[in-house]
Amino acid sequence: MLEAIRERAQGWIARIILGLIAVAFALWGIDWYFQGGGKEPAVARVGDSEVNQRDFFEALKQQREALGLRGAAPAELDNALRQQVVEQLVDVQLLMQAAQAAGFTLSEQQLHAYLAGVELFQENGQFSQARLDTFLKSRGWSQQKLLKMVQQDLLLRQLQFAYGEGALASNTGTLQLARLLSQQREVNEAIYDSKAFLNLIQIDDQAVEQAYQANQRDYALPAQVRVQYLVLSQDAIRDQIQVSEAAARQVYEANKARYQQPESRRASHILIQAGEGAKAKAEKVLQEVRAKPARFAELARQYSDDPGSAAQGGDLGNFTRDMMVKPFADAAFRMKVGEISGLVESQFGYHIIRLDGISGGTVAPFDKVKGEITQELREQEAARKFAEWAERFSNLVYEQPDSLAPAAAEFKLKLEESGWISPGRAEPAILNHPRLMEALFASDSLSKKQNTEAIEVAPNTLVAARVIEHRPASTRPLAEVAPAIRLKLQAEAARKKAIEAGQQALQAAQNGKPPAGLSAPMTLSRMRPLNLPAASVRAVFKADVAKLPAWVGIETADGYRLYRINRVSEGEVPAGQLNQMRRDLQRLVAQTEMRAYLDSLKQRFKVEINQAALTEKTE
Amino acid sequence: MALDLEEQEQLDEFKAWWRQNGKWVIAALVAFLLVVGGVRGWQYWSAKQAGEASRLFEQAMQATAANDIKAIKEITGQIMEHYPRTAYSAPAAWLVGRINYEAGDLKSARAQFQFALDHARDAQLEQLARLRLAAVLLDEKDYDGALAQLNHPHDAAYAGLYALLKGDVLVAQGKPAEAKAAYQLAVEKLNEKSQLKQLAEIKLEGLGG
Repeated sequence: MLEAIRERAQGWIARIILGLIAVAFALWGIDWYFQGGGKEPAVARVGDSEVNQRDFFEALKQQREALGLRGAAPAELDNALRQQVVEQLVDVQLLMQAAQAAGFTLSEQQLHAYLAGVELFQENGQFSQARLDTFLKSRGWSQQKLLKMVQQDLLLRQLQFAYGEGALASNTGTLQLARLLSQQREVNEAIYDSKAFLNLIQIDDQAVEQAYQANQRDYALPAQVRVQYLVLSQDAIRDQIQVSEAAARQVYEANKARYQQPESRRASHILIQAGEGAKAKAEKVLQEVRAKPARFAELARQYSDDPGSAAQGGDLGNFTRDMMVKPFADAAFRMKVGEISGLVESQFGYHIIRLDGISGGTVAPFDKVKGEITQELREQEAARKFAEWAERFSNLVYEQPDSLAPAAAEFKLKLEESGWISPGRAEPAILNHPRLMEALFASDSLSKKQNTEAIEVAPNTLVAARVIEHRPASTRPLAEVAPAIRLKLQAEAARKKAIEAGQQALQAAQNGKPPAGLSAPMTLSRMRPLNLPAASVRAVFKADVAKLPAWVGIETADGYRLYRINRVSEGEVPAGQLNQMRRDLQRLVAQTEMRAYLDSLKQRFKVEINQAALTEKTE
Repeated sequence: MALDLEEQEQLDEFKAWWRQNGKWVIAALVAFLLVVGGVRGWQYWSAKQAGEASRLFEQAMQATAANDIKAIKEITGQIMEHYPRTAYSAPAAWLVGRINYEAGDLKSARAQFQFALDHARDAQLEQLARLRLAAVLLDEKDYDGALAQLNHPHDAAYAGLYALLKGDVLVAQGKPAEAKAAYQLAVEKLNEKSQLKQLAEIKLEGLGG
């Protein structure tokens, strides 16, 4: 009996708890319970969110395109690039998380207002959902995704501004720096050049051989091969393809809309710059223009505040709609040729516009676009053929491993031969592909001289190769490298002698015996270092000048330089330059502060980079 | 019949239990709903505030691009007055503070950079705010005030910037030996990629270091 009640009671408690959960759902939404969602491999974790691999590869691709990199880059550069891209994405994540925690926000209205202002999504100056949809379709994005990207972008812009605009470089610190940079020191210079000591140096054969033995690795020659190879590429196939005029015409007829050129117009204008009394002045000019329309050019020269066009009688040349500010474009594209507009207001002021001509907006004739269409068709056909041939090509070089000749004959390819090549050093560059090199130096290739498999060394480019001659790794013989070693040892010894001589001279000078060969006096500052090497300038300005003259010496790449500092004087910094310097410093401070802020965030949100995911694409 | 009896008995038991505990259950429920409602209400209110501040801040950005000083002062003033608890109040204060600073109005700039420090939303921003305030204090020749800000504990990431400014203050105070130590620290701690590092080296060399 009691048991039963207890069970019931538990039942009630359970029901209350369940009820609470239901309430929580109603209040916070189901998302609150199931955040996280789909699992994609992550390249980095930042706090409690991730940078997924797809975003990483997309960013990497963009970065590569921005740098103009195609195909495989050298491994070192490629790694550095990947590192840089993932760090950028981590920075963005850090900033976004800190921003959201701090309460930076963008409302739906702000996002939509932004989208509505993008000209790409406008039709006749109005936001058009249809245009937006076309754009989304062409990119394969959902509207949600676009909104999210825009939000991130706008938020980052806000943050950059929010934090960056508060950076300061103090006037005091700037003035201190300016004084240092403009301080002048008058010096005499004595140069101890190692070349002057060269003929004093004798290097015997024993020393050369010792250096040779000690640095064997510098004289190592890598294993090399000479190869025969075939290249099957879409580009080469394309060059063989003929396209008939009939086929091109058929495409033209079917896709006429594509060959329509955007309409462009030609107009002249008189601009009265925005400001007090601008409207009244503009109306007066308009009256004058209306009274004597033939004198438009003359009036433009007289009144227009647009310096670019005024001299041309107001002529703006040809322009398309998107080249002009909106109110101007709207007016110009509504007018008839020869018509003179009323006052058109834009952010620049008031325009009086005369439309001078209309061109374009028509379908280009077949003859004009024939070349373009033919090229396109050849490209399509080449892509189709390449896809079809690639497999047969791969099979053929695999099935007949002792020769590339059958594949060459089948696909009408030229059988080519290379010079001596090794990994990282191959001509032509197409052979310099890590996988191809690996295959060439595999034992089957070296000993049995078999074909490599067909390897894609660049997009739509296959190479199959076969070793014809092999040279194992070796060391260059002493006789061959001895002259170079001797020269190097000589130069090193001469530099040492020069430095010794210089140091002795410095000591003598400090004891009151100035050296011979001092130059005429030169007055330099950090801002005007004359043509002295940077290291010398540093040494001269670092020197203690409590007692003058002061002596300072410095070792250089070709010996030693000695300076006598005679005089120190303050330079002058014009106020304008000081102000410019402060602004430059402020920009540096802003950049450094941003970096420091991001680094400090790394301590607040844990950052983990998954190095393995940067290279392997596991999609 | 026996079952009915048993059920009747259970029902009575429950009624007795409810008489004793029911008000607590109800009180707990009401308290829970009040708390949840309060939290939701507060969230709604702060999101609304942040949204309005964000919109104003966008306007301030546009005004800055157009170099419209009057508008910047007006808009940042609105953000600081009406939305001081949003993330936008400190940046607004910085923006107008920088403009006053550049116009030579150190007094207003100091008040605005102090406002930004008082309204920084997290520890990292607070440290940034201290650094910036110290630069204004240096120009006001309030060296002790500037050093007090720069001696505040800060993340390792800021160490270089703090040390560099500290060196400037100490030079202005006429304490070259201490300034040298500060510049040395700045050279050591500033990020390799920052050109400020080279400038810190020049400042250090200027003191014969």
